[in-house]
Amino acid sequence: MDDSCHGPMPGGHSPVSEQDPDRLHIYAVGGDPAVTRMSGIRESLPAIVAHSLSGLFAGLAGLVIVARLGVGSPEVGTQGGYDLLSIAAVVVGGAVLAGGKGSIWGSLGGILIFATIDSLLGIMEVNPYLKEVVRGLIIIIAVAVYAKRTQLKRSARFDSLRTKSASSMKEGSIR
Amino acid sequence: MTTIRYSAQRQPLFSRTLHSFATPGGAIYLLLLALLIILTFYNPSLAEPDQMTRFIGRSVPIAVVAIGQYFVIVAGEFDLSMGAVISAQVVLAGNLIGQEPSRIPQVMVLMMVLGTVVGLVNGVLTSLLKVPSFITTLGTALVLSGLTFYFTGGAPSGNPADAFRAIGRGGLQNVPLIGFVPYSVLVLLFVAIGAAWLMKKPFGRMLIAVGDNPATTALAGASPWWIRTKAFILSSTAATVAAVLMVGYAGVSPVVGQGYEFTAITAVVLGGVAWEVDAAQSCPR
Repeated sequence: MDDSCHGPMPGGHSPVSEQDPDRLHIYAVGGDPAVTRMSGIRESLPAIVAHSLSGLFAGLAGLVIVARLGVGSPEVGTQGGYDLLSIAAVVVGGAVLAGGKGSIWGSLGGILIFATIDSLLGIMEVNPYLKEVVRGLIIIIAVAVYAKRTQLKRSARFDSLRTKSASSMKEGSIR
Repeated sequence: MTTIRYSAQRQPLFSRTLHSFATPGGAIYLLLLALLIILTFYNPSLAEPDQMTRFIGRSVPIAVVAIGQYFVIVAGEFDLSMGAVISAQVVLAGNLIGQEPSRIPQVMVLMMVLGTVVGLVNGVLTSLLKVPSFITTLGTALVLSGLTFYFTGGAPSGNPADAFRAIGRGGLQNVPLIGFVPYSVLVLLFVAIGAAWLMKKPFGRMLIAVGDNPATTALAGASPWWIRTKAFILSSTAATVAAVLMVGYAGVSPVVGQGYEFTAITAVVLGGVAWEVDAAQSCPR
């Protein structure tokens, strides 16, 4: 795991550790690739690292699932809907789909919300298909509750660099 | 000829066509041609006209879904709920029509209403509540497919009358030169021409403008939320049309629509439509 994680990193740090500049590079590329490029950071490397990490963690999840099921089922990934639900959990955890914002802790919180609701509905003996319905509603409601507020308040990660008029114009756009 | 070139700044049709092959939307037709030639090489019977129309007829549902998805992507959004809409509509048709052809018109009106409502919900949640369309449509997809599975118990159920299945299955016999023309090909022609016409209308131009830059579109006096909502309504209506055709092809099952939304997105992007950035460049001419 360590090899594939560290391989492409120039400094040899783990890209998810707090102090690492490469962690910020991932944020920067997500926020604005063009500006990142102009700031002297290669925008391709963080993107490659991010994709590699996602593949690596998907592999780890596969290990956990095979340990749980005890059999190598070729359809367990697609049928589990892991791709879309993982995105949903990350967004519920506060990450922005356009990139450049969000944290690991927020994503974990999003996952915990889903897991808690799943087991709660299980205890209440709700029909498993209706569980899906509830899950869909929760995704929409959770994001809707704070989407409006965070978008109004949302500033770029480096707020001081932004002019006020530009951001207010952007907010007025959607209404 | 020269007057045309000076007055309208349009090159002659032949050179325009030639130039369009250099764009993604045109190059895809060259790729398609190459694939078709390879396909007929391995399966010569495909070159016969009626086999060709049958072949096109089978791919009509995905083409209609892709056209619906096109409106949404050009407006800078996604619609991940199309597969779930297809499944829900197919199951609805299968169970409500049953063996009584007399119910077909009412049920089709109901399906259209349901499609419109889903699109309206998607659009309003996305544009007024500012939920990213990825999340909105994923949520509606989960809700719709959950309900579909709940009411069917996860197993195929309902068997619509043959008259209804004929829309997707049947066709015009003994057409001169071609032979057999499936109704679905006629539906595709209608939808494609309608969509191209719509994109030439002010609505289509606004759609591209909203996808390109919602801020300037709003400042220019348009209401981006309503334009986007209309795009969502168009996409789920397209999914409904595809569902009507798929009842004939695929039968009634709660998983018929699975994966269609991604195939449609892939098709639209392959055809050269970029979302969010420079959508204006890919406007159909």
